Amino acid sequence: MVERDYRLIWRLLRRLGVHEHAVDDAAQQVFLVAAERLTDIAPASERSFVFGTALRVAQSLRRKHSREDPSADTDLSASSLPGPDELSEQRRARERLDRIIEQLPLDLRTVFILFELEGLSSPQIAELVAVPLGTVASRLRRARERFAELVADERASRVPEKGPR
Amino acid sequence: MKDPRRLLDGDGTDEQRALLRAGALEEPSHDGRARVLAALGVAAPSLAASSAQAQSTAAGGAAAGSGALSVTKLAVLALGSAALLGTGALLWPRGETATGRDARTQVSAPESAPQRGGEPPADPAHHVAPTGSVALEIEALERVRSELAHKDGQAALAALRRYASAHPRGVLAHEADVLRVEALVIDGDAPAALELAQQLLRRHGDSPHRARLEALARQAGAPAAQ
Repeated sequence: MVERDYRLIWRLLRRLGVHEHAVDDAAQQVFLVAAERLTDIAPASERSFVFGTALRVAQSLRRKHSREDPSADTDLSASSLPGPDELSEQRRARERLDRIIEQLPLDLRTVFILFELEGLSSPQIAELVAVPLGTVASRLRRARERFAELVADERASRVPEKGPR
Repeated sequence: MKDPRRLLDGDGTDEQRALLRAGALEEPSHDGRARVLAALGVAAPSLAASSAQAQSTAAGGAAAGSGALSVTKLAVLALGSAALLGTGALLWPRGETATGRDARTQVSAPESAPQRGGEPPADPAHHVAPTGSVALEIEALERVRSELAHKDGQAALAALRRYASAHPRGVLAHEADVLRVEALVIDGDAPAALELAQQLLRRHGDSPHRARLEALARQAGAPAAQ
């Protein structure tokens, strides 16, 4: 299970907003919980269980992070400005992506990440998220629409900073 | 129902693709997965390659890493435990790989596991206990290692007996066996050390501790079993 799903779970946790310094611990936590409950999980639904646990862990860590460091979001926001030299273009793009997709509702965000970033098919997502195929399709459609809006909004909000005063 | 093309594959704008590509390129480190396997009591082949690093951890007498979570500490302890065996590969349970059924990590799980299609557990982040039987096993073997470091074979053997008594089906039983060979060597019981080493090499030919066992067998005075 770890061999098969670790990468997916780790990346999912990251895109669900778990900080890069906490994501290894979070992924470990997910699999330890799964290991403990392995005998209780219905056959063939191990992946679904691990996935669901990852969602809960991500939510929990985000809540904890917010409580411990209320300025975290502000800091993240600030990094959209031209960053220090050591911040690579790739890293800035990733932070921008994270800021955008975290504005998607969780149900849309999950489907969006699994489809667009992890390359899962709709049937795979339907099984993982335990929703009908049609729901996956509609969530993906709405997530894409919202994503496009958010990208445009985010770009627009950055333009004045670079314009002449 | 046919899936639409992914934005990354061309259906998105350049800007959207650039953003998604940045996310798609982020990968977990190999160490993270190895730590999970270690915490679960499953040998991670890659860890053998990092034995030098693990060994330095053990030599320092302190666990490396600074994970905030107790489960991480457990994993780090596991790494240190493996390192003390001198191979870096670790936590190789007797007979079969521990996928969690045997690795009783005592992570307090949610109240109910979901059936197919059911809801996942609520907030597992708050249910991870700070200690588990694997951690206790590691502690017990740390005591063995400590006695070995003092070249006290008798005390190490006594600590191993306590370990066996407390963890009759321990996931670290194989590691304990390797330490027993070392304890017998230090205690001067070369025939017993050699016999056990050869027995382990026959039984666990693909043991991650093979090189260590072979070295101990040589030390005990005869070539290791092939």
